[in-house]
Amino acid sequence: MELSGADRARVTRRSKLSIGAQVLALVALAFAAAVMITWLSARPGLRARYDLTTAKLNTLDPALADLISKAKSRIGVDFFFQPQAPPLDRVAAEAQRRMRELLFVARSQFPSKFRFIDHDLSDLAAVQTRMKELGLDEANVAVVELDGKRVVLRLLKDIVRVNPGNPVMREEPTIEAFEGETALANAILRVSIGERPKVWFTTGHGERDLYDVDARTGLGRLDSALVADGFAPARWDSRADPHIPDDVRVVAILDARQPFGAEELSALEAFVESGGRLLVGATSDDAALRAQDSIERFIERWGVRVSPGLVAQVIRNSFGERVVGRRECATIVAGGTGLDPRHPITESLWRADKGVGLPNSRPLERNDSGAPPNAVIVDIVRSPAESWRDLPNSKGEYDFRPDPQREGDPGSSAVAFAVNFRPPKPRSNDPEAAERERSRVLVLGGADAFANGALEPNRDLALNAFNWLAEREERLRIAARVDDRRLIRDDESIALLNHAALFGLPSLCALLGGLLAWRRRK
Amino acid sequence: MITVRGLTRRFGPVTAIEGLDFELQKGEVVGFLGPNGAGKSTTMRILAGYLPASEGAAVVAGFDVLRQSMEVRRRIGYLPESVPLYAELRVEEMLEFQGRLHGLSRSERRQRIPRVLERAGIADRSRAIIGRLSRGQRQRVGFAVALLPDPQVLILDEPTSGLDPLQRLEIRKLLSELAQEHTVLLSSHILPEIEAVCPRVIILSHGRIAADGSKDELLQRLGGGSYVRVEAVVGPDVAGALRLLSSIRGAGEVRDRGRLGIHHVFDISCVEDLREDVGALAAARKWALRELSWRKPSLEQLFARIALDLPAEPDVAPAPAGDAPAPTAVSLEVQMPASAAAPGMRPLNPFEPARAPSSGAAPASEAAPPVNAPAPRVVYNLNPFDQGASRDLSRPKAIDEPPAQH
Amino acid sequence: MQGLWTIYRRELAGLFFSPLAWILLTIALFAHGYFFIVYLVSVTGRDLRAAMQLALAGDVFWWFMLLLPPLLTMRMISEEARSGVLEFLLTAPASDLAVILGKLLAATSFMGILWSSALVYGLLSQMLGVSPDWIPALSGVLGATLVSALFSSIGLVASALSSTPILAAFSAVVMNFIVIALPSLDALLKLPPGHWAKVALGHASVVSQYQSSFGIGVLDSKHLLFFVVWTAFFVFVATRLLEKRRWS
Repeated sequence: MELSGADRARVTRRSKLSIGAQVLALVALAFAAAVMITWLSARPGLRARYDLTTAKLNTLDPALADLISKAKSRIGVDFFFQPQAPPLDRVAAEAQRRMRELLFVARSQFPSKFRFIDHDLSDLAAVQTRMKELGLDEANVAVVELDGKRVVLRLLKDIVRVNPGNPVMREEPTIEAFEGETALANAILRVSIGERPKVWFTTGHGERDLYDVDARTGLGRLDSALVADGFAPARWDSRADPHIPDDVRVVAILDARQPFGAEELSALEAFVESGGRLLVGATSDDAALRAQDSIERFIERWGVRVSPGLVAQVIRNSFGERVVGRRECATIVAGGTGLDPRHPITESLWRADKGVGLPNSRPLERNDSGAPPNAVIVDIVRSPAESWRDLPNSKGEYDFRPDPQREGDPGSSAVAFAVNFRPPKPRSNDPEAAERERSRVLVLGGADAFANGALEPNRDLALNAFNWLAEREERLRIAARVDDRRLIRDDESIALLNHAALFGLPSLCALLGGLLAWRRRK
Repeated sequence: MITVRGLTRRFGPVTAIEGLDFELQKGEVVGFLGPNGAGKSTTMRILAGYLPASEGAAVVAGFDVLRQSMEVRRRIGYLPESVPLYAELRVEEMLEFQGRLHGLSRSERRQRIPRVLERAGIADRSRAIIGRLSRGQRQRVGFAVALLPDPQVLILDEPTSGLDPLQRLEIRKLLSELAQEHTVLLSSHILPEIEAVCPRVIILSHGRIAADGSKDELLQRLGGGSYVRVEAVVGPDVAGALRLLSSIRGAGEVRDRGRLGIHHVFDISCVEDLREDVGALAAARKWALRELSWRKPSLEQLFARIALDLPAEPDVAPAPAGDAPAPTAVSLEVQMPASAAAPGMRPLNPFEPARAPSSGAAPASEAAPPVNAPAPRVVYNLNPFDQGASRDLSRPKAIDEPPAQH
Repeated sequence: MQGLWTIYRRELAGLFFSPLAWILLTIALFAHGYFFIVYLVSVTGRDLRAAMQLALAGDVFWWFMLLLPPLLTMRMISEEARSGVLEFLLTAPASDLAVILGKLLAATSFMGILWSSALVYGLLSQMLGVSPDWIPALSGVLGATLVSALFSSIGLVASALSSTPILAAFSAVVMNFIVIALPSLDALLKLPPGHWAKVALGHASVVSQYQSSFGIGVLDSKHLLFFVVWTAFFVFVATRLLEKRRWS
C-alpha cells in the first residue's frame, strides 16, 4: 500500500511521539522509584545512623535519647534566641550555639520524634504572634511542648549556668556549665508525665485555706500559681479521711494551729517514710507552736526543729539609718549569701540575684539527733547577719528590738530547711528503683511567706519549692556535653596553615598545571 | 558481511532513506555514491549503530545492529565524516583510548598502534597533539583509529573530503590496500576515487538506491551502453535509411532522433565502434554527413544524471540559429533543465533554501541581472581536481553572470 | 561495565589536559583555603575540628557546589556533540550508561581532589601537634564528593540538553540553584505545619540532609541513600537524553 507524503509524515511523527512518551514514562517511573526509595529510607526501621565523631558529638546522652524515643507523640521545641546585651552577649551567643547544636542533634537522631522551630526574629510579627500564643513575655527561651503541655526553659537560667565574672576586675562572664541536656530532659520529663502532680493542702486544723482570696492571709494566689505551673492542688480534710493515696505527691501543712490526730500523724509519717513529700510552714500562733502535739514538734523526727520566737532584722529607712523596733523588722529579706547557691530551690534565685521576703518566720535549727540516717539537711534560706531572734515578752508581745541578754547574740539564723533522705520503706519493690527514691521535707519558718500578701516576691521560691518537692526520682542529671574543641593555640601554626592554605596548595596546583602544559607543548 | 533489508529512516517529517536493500559479501569493497542529502551518512550511521532505523533491518558481521549493537560495534571500524578525535590528546593517546575501548590488551596495543600509524602514514607524528594537526593528518589519524581494532568491516564516510589531490591519492592507495583484507563500505561523491577503489558502486538518490552494481553493469543498464550518432542528410526516405543503418553488422537498435534542419539524427546502439561501417554506408549512399561519433556514457554522466533526476539521454537540442557553433553534446557539463532552476522547485539539498541561481559571494543587489536579461546558464561542475569544491554538488554555479565585484 | 574505566580515564585526561581545569582548581583551592582559614581563625576560635567541618559543609561549600560542577560538566556532552566526538563514543563498544558514568566519575573525582585539600590541612595540623577528628573528616570528604556527584549528574543532564557549553553551564547553575533552594519554597509559600508539601520539601532538602549527616560526622543510611539514589536518577535521565540523540 502506498502512503501519500502527508500520511507518511504523520506516521513518523506519531512514532517519534510514542518513543518520546515511552522515554518520558520511563523517566517518570525512575523518578517515582527514587522518591519511593527516599521515602522508604526515612522509615525508622530501615534507617541506621552512626556517629563517627570521637567525642560522640552527634549522639544524645542515652538517658535523654531514651526519653525522646519513648515520647508518645512528637516533641516540639520553639526557641526564641536573640542577641543579649553586653556583658552577657558572648555568653548568650555561646549558649545559643550549643543549645542549637543540641536541638539539632536531637532532631537528626529522632527525626520522627523531635522537631524544633528556630524563631530567628527575622519575621518579627510572626514571632510575636507565636510568643503570645505560648504566653511568653521574654526572648531567649526555649519552649518544650508535648501534647499541649509546655515547659519554658530560660537560656541563661535553665540552659547554662553562668559565672557572672567581675566587672571591677574586668573578668568577663563565662559559662560555668552547659546544662542544655539536663534542662531538655527534665522539661521532656515534665511534659510527658501524664497527670498533673497532686498537691494536697491539709484543712481542719486552722490552716491557711487554699481557696481563700483574702489579700493577706489566704492561699488563693498560690493555688492559681500552682495550677499554672502544672500542679493539681486540692484541699485535704485529714480528719475526715486520714488515708493518703499513692498518687499524691506533696502534702502541704501551712499554719496548722490545732494538733493533728494520732491517725493523721501516722498516716503522714507513713507517707513521708515511703518517699512522700511534705511541706510544713510553721504557724505564727505562739500558743499553737508551744503545744506538745503540734505538727512542728512532729516533724523534728526529720531533722528540723522549729524554735519559738520570730526572726527579725535591722531595716534601713530612706535616709539609710538603721531602724529597729518596728513590725517590718519581722520580714526577713534574704538574698545573696542568704540563699543556698547549690540547692535547686534557691539556686536560680541566687543566680538571678533575686531576694525573698519572708514575714513572721520562726528560727529553724538542725536537729541532727533526730534526723534519719543519710539525710541531707540544707538550710536553704538564712536571715542576714544583722538579724536576731526576737522573743515575746512575758505578755506575749514582740518588741522587735535586739536584747542580747534575753534573746542571745544577734546573728543569722535559718528560716527554711530542705531535707532529703532515702525512705526507710520505699514504695518500689525493685531494689534499683527503690535506691533512687527520695523522701523530701521542706520546712518554712513561717507559713505567711506563701500567703497572698507575700506571695509576689516569693513566687519563684514557692514554685521552685513545689517543683523540688514534687519531682520524681527520674529527675535526670545529665553530664554536660563535651564540646570537642581542638584548638590550635600558637600563632606560628596558624600562620603556617594560613600560608599553606592560601598559597601553598594553590601554587602547587598552578605549578603542576603549568608543568603539564609545558610538557605537552613539547 | 552486511545485509540491509528495507532500511528506512525518518527524521520527523523528513525521510532520509527509504527501503534500502543491499548486501555486501565478505571482502567486498563497495562505494556509496550520491549527492549531499542522499542518505549516505544516515545509512552508515545506522550500520555503525549510532542511529536506529525507523524500519527495516541491518545485519553487520552476523549481528543485528539494533539488538546486538555492542557486538556490531566491536566488529566495525567506523570513520564518520567529521573525523571525531579528541583535540587535546596526543595521537598515540587517542589510539590507546580506542584500543582500551575495544578491550585490546597492553601487548596488543603496543604491537598494533605503531603498525596502524605506519599504515596510515602518520607514524612520524605519533606524539603530536591532535588539535595541532592539519586536516589531512587528522584524517589519517582517523583512519588509524578506525583500523586499530582490526575490524571485519570498515565503514568510511567521505574519507577523502577536504584533502588535497596528493593526499587523496595516498588515501586512495591506502583504501585499495585495505580492500584486500577488509569488507569496506565507503561513501564519496568523488567518482574517480570510487571508480579506482570500488569494484561495486551503490548510487543513492533521495534516500533510495538508484543503482547498484559494477561500473560496467551500471553503464550497461542505466546508460543504455554506447552508440554511434549519425547526423546526415538522408533525403526523404527516412525509414529506408533506418533500415539500412540497422542492417549494419553489430548494430543494435536504431533510434530516429528527428530532424535538425536538413540533417537527420540517428543513434545506433552498439557494443563496438561502428563509425567506419556507418561512414562507408554514408559514402555509398551519398549521404552528406555532418556528424559521426561514437558515444560512451561515463559513470560521471550517469551519476550526474541520477543526482539531478535527469532523463537517461537528453533530447537533441534545437538547431542553432545562423552559423553559431552547435552545442557540444559530449562534455562534462550537463545542461540544467529550465524547470529545475525555477524558483519554488524543491532544491536538491533539502536544507538549502530555494534561491535564485546567483553567486553566493556577490550581494544580490549588486549582482542582480536586469529583469528581462536571459537567465544565466547553470552548470554543475564535476571537475574532480577542483580541490573539494565539487563536494557541493547541490549548489549550482552560474557561469554566465557578471563576475562578483570585490 | 566495559569501557567505563577507559572513558573515565579519558575524561580525567581531557579535564586535566585543558587549562580550564587547572585554573578552576587553583582558584577553588585558594577560595577553599581562604575560607578554611576564616573559619579557623574568626568563626570557630581556632578550633580545628569545627573549622574542618565547616570547610566541608559551611555556606561557602554550597557556592562551590552551585558553580563548580556545571563548569566541569558543561563541555562533556554538548561540546562533544558539536565536535562529533560523541558519535565516535556512541559507536564505540561502550554502552551509553558507561559513557555517562565515566564522565560523571571524572567530574566527581575532580571535586574529590578539591575536597581532599581539607585533609591536607588536617595532616599539616597533625604535624603541628593538633590532631583533627579524622574519621568525621574523612566521612566529610566522602560526603562532599557524593554531593558533588549529585550536582555533576545534574550538570551532565544540562550538558546533554544544551547545544553549547555556555548554555549548559548556565542551565546547570539554574538547576543546581533550584535543587539547593527548593526547601526555601516552604518558607515562601508559608505552608502550615504538617502539610504534605512541607514534609516532601523537607525530604528533598539537599542542604539540610547533608548538614545533618556528612556535614557533622554522622553516617546516616537515609542521607547516604538520598544522594546515591538521586545521582542515579539524574544519571538515568542523562543516559536517556544521550539516547534521544539516536532516535530523534
